[in-house]
Formats: sequence, C-alpha cells, structure tokens
Amino acid sequence: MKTMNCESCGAPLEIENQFIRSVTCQFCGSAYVVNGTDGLDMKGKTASLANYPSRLSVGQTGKIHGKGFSVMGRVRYSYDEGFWEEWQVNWDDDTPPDWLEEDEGYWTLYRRERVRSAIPPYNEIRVGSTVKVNKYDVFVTEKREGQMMGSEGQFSSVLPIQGKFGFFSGNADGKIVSINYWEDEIELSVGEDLEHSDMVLS
Amino acid sequence: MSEQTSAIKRLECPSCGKPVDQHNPTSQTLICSACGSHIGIGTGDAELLAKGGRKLPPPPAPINIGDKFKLLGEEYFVMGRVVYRGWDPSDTSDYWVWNEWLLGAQSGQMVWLSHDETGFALFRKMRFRSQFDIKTARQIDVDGGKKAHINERYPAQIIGAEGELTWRATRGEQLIVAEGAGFGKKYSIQQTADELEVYEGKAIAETELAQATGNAKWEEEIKNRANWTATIGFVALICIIFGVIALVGAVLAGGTGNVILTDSITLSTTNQEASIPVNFEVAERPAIVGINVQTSLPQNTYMDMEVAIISPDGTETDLFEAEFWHETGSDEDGPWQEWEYTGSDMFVPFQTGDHTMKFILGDTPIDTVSANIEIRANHIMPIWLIIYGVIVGGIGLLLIFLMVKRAQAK
Repeated sequence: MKTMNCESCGAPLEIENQFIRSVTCQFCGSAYVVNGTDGLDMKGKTASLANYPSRLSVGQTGKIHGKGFSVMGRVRYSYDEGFWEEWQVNWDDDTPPDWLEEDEGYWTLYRRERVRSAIPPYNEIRVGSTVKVNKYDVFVTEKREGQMMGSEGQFSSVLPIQGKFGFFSGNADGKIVSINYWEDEIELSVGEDLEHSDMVLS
Repeated sequence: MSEQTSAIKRLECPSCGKPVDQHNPTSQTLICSACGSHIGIGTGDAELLAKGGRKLPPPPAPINIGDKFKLLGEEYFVMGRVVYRGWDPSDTSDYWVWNEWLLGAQSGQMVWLSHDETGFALFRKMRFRSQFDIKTARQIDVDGGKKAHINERYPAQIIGAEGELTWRATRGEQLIVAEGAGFGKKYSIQQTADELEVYEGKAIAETELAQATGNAKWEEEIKNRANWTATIGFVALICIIFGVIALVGAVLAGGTGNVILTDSITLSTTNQEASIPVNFEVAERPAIVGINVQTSLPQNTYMDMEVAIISPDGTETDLFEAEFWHETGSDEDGPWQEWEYTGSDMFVPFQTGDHTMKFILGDTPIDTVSANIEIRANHIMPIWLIIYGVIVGGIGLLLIFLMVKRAQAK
C-alpha cells in the first residue's frame, strides 16, 4: 500500500495495490488519476455521497463464494428514473478488482472483459433486440443514459466525473452483460447474479 | 396488527411543506401522504416530480405503508403501493385496475405483492433466459428449461402511488404488460421504452396474508365472507336444482291429464259441423282437445277446423281454430313437402257436467274429412312450471354471478 496526500485538503490518500487507477478523497471529493509515478493528477471534484445504509461500505470485508474481498470504492450514477451504485471490490488473492452492483437489493458481480468484436453505436441499440458482443448474444433489456453523481475510495479505472454516457445491459446464456459507452472507451462487463447467502460479510 | 417500521429520514414536501418520511435507503420516490405529490430523492436535493394528485383508491386489503410482517419465511416491510390501470387496446372502455405493494425484505431485496381479480401473488425479479418479444411471444423460458405460457398482454399505466418507490415513478407512466403462467408460478413481463423486466410470482392465499399480518379483523372478515359464500352458494345450488326440476317437469307435463273421451268425426262441405258430448267432473282444471286428421290431404291443399264448446248452462265459447295442410315445392336442395295432420289446444271448463264439443269445417277444397278426437282432463299446464323454473333457476344463476363478482372485487 502507498499513501499520498490530497492536494486540496491534505487528507491521506491510500493506494491499495497496482490495480488502482484513480482515487477520490473521502473528505473533500477531489478525484485523482494515479499517473504511474509518485504523483497524482487531479481530475476535479465529485459530489460527496450521502451515506445511505447498505450491506456494504468502503473498507468492508467479506467473502463471495468463499473468496475474501474488501470494498475499495463506491460510485453512484444517476439516470432519468433514479440512481444506482457500484462497489469496487479488491480480492484477497490479488486477482484484479471487480465490481458489485446493487439493484433493489439484488447483487450482481461484474468482471471487466476486453471488447473483441465490433459493437453497434449506442443510438442503434434497442430494448428487446439481440446484440452480438464478443461471444455473447446479448438480449438487451435496458438502455439508458447515465451520469456519475459522486464517488469515494479507490478504483481500478479512471471514472468519468463529468458528462453523460450511454449504456445498455442484457442477458446472454445466464450471464449479465453490460456495455458502457464512455467518451473515449467502450467498456464491457460480464456479471453473475449473487444469492443473498453468496456474499458473507465479516 | 402488523408492526410499523421507523423512518430513517424525514424531509419536507416541496409542494405542501408537510413532513414526508423515508423508510428505505434505496428509495428514489417518496409520495407525500398529505398532498399526493411525487418527490424525487437520492440524486441531490429533494425534487418535485409531480405536484399533488387525485386521491388514491383505498387498498383492496388492509396492508398499509410501514407495516411489517413475515411471509413465506421472510420478514418484509411495506414500502409503497402502486395502482395500475390496464385496458383492452381494441376497446379502451374495457379497463381494469390492480394494486401492487412494494415490500422490502430484511436482506434488502425488494419484492412486489400484487392483487388483481385472481387474488394475491408475491413477485420477485428474475432474468430473461432467452430473447422475448412482449408483443408476439406465446411462451417464456423459465427455470429448468421449462416454458411458461403467455396468456394475456395489454397496455397499462400508473394511475397513482403512495409511500416510497425504488424508481422515479410518476402518474401516467405507460408500459406494456404480458402475463404468463406455468408450473404453479405466475409471470409478469413489463416493458417501457428503456427497460424490459420479468418477474416470477407465487400465488398467496388471502388467509395466509391475513395471518401473516396478524390482522384478526381481516381474518374474521375472510371467514365471514367464506361463510357468506358457502351459504349463498348452497342457496344458489338449491335454486338451480329446483329450477331444473321444474323445467324437466314442464317437459313431462305436456303429456299429463287423463283421457276422458276418444271419438271420431266426419265433416264434409255439405255437413260442416259435428258435435260430441263430453262430461267434465272437475271444473277449472285445464283440458286438452286433440285432433288427428285421418283423411289424406291432396298435395297443396289445406283445411281449417274451428272448435267450440257449449257449457251446461248453454253458453257457447269458441276455443280455437286448427289448421291442417299438405304443401310441396322445390328449392336448391330439390323437391320438398311438408304437412300438418294434428292440432291441439288447451281450455279450462268453468262448469262441471255435460258439455258439447263442436267441430266446424272451415274454408277447404276437400269434400269430406274424418278425424279422431281425444280430450284429456286434469291437465297440468307446463307454462307455470316453465315460469317457476326460469325464475328460481334465474335466481340461482344471479346468486352465482354475485358470488363471482364479489370474489373478484376482493
């Protein structure tokens, strides 16, 4: 672990491992990109998150399917009908971090995958259609525009703190597939639903 | 009664200023209980999504916002209620309303308790197993490689809500709904422009729900309703049985009465009238006069015969005019012929004693006609049995209809 200080408020910023690409100060909301040297590049400020009760919180540890994890960060996104939250989890066995998403109390564990096929433009995606993504025939069940509202903690990617992005998600052979259309990247995540008992908190 | 859960946050309604409580951390809409305004939360300051609103119809069951109860082994608290209206797209005047309560489990998972004309069901979100077209699909893939049948699809909209909801719900929000069933489960598929969701449900008996909420008054009401249904059902069954018996009796009554006279008459163009004496021992009981023409009518001829009776006091009363014919013709199916050689009618003798029946040959091209006459007395009139059967059977059917309507209303 490496510790630096927030340029804005001076609070300590902890960089947990080699996978961390961005960090948000838990006190002032300043967001930084980890630049690979000893420094941090400030990206701007994110809103501080109201601390609603949840099963998870930053720093929480536990096990999923028996594999130990700790929560490194939390991001809240908004869309036209509300918001959702994603939690960055760091695995005890040093495998790359993954994301946990909560929707009405149902948890999905997402893992990033490389995009290896052409993906249709966002405006061509329709709910109810099927889209080929890598090896997956994704039956699209949701398509929206989102925007990051705020974050806290450490992340394995650089979060888009400004502007809207399109996304869609759907089902493919028992997997949950989600595509985010960031300004400079298309991001593919493949997830699996977790039963309540699959996630045991310490 | 069920327990009430405590609020985690209280804010002020941006419309009327009254306090509005939030019970669940993931709620995104709160509905002000004072003015009905929809308030968006969670993405910054409380935001007025829709101001005021018409009063929500009362819930079809005593399940109130904030109630806590244990159902199917899980603790729930009632977060909100949404009232939907669906309609037949080919006839918008044909619409129906159903209620859905949003229940939060202790695990944080949300489920929907739905109530429609088929009763209560607890729905949980599931994932699509395969592609599904809500407008055309006849089946949906469910657990274990099974397929449930889609039995209904229709447009719907939110007509009101109360409590708190996990999305930014507004009145008038439209969706397409498909309903399916199979393997003891119910399926509800809902599509908006942005999202397609599927829920799997399990039917819940109203008694089970009443027991779960610990609402003794509700349980008593269900019991009374069951007693009422049993009583009305029994009465309806008895009415229908009596109605059927009466109608069967009406059919059998056609042949009732004892034969008091059989005779034959011969009428001709030169002797157009014949009289037969007949004695009635009982007055004011229907009697039947039957005529069976024995003479073969040539093709395309006819014959009228008037029947009258002279009572013991000399009063003559015309009873009826019988018509007999033999017709032929042809149509696209070929030649045809029809005939009528019998006729009968009923009358009621108002006196006892010796009467005289008169038979008068009417207009006819036939020279001579002979006919057998039969008179039956003490006849039971089927019409009274028919009226009785229809009224009593109708009452039975009406009671069953009321039972069904009442069951649907609950």
